[in-house]
Amino acid sequence: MRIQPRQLMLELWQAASAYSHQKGEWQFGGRAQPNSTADAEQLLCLMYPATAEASYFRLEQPDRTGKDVAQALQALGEPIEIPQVLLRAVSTFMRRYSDEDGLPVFHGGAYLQATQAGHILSPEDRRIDIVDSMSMSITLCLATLGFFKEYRRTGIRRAQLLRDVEWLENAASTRLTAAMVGLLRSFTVHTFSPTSTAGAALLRTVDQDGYSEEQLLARLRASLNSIRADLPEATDGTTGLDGLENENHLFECGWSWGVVHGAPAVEADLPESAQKPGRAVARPNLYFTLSALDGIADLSSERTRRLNLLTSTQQSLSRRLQLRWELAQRYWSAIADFGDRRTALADIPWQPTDRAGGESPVTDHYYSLQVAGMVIENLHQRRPAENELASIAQILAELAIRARVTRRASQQETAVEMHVPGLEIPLAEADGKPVVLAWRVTDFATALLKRTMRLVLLARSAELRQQLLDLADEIWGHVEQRMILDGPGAGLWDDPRRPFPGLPDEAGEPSWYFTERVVECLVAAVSVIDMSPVTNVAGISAARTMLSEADHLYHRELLNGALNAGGAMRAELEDVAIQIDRARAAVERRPGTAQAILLEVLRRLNSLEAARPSIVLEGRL
Amino acid sequence: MIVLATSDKGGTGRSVTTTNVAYRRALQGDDVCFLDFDFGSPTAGAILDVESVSRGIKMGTGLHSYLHGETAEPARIDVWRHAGWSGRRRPLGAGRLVLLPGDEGGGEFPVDAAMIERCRQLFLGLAEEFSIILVDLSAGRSYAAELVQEATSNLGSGGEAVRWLVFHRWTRQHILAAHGLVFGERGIVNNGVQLGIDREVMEDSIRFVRTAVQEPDSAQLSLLRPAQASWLQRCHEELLELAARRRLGRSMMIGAIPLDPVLQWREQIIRDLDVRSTQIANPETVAAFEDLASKLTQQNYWAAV
Repeated sequence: MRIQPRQLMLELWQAASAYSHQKGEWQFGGRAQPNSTADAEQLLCLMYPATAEASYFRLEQPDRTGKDVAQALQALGEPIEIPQVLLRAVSTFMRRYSDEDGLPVFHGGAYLQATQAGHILSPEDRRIDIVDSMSMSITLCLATLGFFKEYRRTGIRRAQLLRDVEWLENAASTRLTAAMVGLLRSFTVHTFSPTSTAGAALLRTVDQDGYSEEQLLARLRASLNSIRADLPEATDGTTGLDGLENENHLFECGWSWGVVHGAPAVEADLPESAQKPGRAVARPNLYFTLSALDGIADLSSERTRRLNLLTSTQQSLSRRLQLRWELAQRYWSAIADFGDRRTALADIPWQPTDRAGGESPVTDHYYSLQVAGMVIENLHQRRPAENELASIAQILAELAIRARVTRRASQQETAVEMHVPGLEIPLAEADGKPVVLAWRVTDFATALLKRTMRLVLLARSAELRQQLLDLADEIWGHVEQRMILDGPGAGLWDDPRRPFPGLPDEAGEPSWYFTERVVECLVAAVSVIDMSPVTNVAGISAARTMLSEADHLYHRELLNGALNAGGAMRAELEDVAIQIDRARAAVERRPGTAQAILLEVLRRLNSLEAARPSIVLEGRL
Repeated sequence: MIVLATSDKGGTGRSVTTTNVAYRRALQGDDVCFLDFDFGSPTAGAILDVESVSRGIKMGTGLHSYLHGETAEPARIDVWRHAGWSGRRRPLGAGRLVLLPGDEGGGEFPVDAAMIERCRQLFLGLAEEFSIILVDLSAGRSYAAELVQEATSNLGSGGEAVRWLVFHRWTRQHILAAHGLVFGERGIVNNGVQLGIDREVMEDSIRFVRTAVQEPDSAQLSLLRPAQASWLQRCHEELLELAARRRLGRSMMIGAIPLDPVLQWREQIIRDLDVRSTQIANPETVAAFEDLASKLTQQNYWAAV
């Protein structure tokens, strides 16, 4: 792996902190006007690595902050001041994204776009809650709660500071609850007849072996049967469950782009008024489903459990979200896995059941990537076979080629549309209202890198791991090219003009959307390096053979009375014994290291032996 | 402000650092006096290069004699006029720099109430004249240290701020010893609490100074073999962790003085010309002294978070 996450992260931190902290204050903003998603992303650029499972970038205990880390964040002040800078910044965020009653909002704001060029969105339009913002807020709130819980333990005692921390913890906890409730109410089940457009698209997706439509339907129903049976358990806040009663209908489940129209209120520690009626269509969207999954994954992380970050109400909400998380993963994995000769996932690009008018078919590759992401997350729940992983690795590699991430793009190539302008998701509302809002998704390259890293974590063979790391390096090469070089956002992202020449110049200011995703990739790279090296049976067996030979020869030297041969010989054999012990300790977990040590030991033992027989043979005694 | 400099172990570089800090502070324009309370071995005269008091004052007029009531006023020496390296006059813009030496052959002594009162009067008088009063205590727990802590704990209403600088070298033993000296059962904090000072006020008034520091990435260590460098970095990390656990971490640290050949081979005042002209001392060392000198009176470095 050529990616060096510590160095890269610190460079990114240096640029992000210099941009975000000016004149002693945190400044929200970047390429887009401040909004609840972008501001959370901007904060997470620091908060996410600082609260990641691996503790290399910790900031909440100033006594333990690394020297290079402190240097990178000089713009924020000295290590002792950094937690307080973050305290003020996150508190500002919490205040800014609450309504008049102090209830958290998840408005799309400036990230929303008009579906029709020239149409200007009203402030009303921009005040619509979005799943991306909820999911980002879950991650941010959990990071905040953990960060300041640990910060408290450093023995802070200034009364005002303690009050400020307490205020933020309460605000973050309330926002977390609201985001979880929002996600519960955004989960939906969409049922449709096999003869509808959606039905035809789904059947087309699973048609990999040339079965008749009847056989195909029967097989599809059979493979989705257990999910269909479990779905009715997910009642809280869920719309569309009654559609499942019609056994002839097909279905899909997952997250829509916001709270679904007609979604019932959920029991939680929130005022009634916090659960506003939803507007989103009751149809899952792959991008938002994956986005929700990323937030929910943080709810069940080892860290969240260890630090006991959730209240009992939140634990109950979390369990309900887990259930939906598992159902969505199982559903999409089942569809993706369909097919004997070739899986539906391998049949690139994936065909969505619903395609908006005017959507470029090339962005279908986005759906392939999202389904692959869901399959990979599902594989993390069990111990997958190596060939399953290899076939997904192949799909990721092909997506990287098709999206011109690992191949040069020619001018005006349609594949570039996946990156710029990206996938435009129309935010369809219930009852066929005209669609005016759209959500722009431009994270293909970083999503691909993140999924590749997640897959590396599963690989157990050295070959597959290396193959995936090579792919990750190649994708990183592309991502790195897109770093902004000049202007206020220098050192941050995203400037796609180098890999994709001919694009208009809109760089200068950073895109926190993209930069935060680069940060996620680097954190994923850290977890890859943090694993112990992969080993294989052959390597261990070779190391054992060498160990046994070296040990044997060493003992023969001792038996021969080598210790009578004087100080030089004794010192040599003492050191050989130490090296053999080191090798023995390394055999299982680092067989390559063990072999390297043993080669040296065998050579040294041999040179002792080689010095002796010649004297005897020449018979000069 | 009264600054009490102490350390648990000898050889930490406490005296040489404190004198250099006094010198820097006077250069910055403050009136500074330096009290040599290291009665066992009064060396401030030697470090300041005042020939006549290089091992304490001889006439029985030093601090030791004053505390015993043998002289009404302790002797004062104007360092700018008497130091060998000085041009016999105060530099432009500098404040006063006055040394109150100990007595040659003074030694330790038990404390009585009269002494405490004399000591208290001394500080009250000096506080009217000087903005910074630096007191160099001996290493470890001593009668002198107890005397000073008691005398300064009771300076009356609107009394001078009292701050402690605890010096330690960057080794495991020194970290543990400094921790004990401050937070131990009979440590400075508990002593202060017994004298009626709030524990938190006490903790806020104490900061640590690391001396003879060699960061693993310093130029002096660049000649190490890779294995040595690897080992050294691990040691450094262990010490960082130990310091954090023993509450000697970054948040309680107010200065770090790098290892400097001039300080190591000859304890002396480092002047700017030693860095710029003769180049015998490292600029980082002077920067560390300057930094520590100015942080003495910056409130934010003396407040708990």
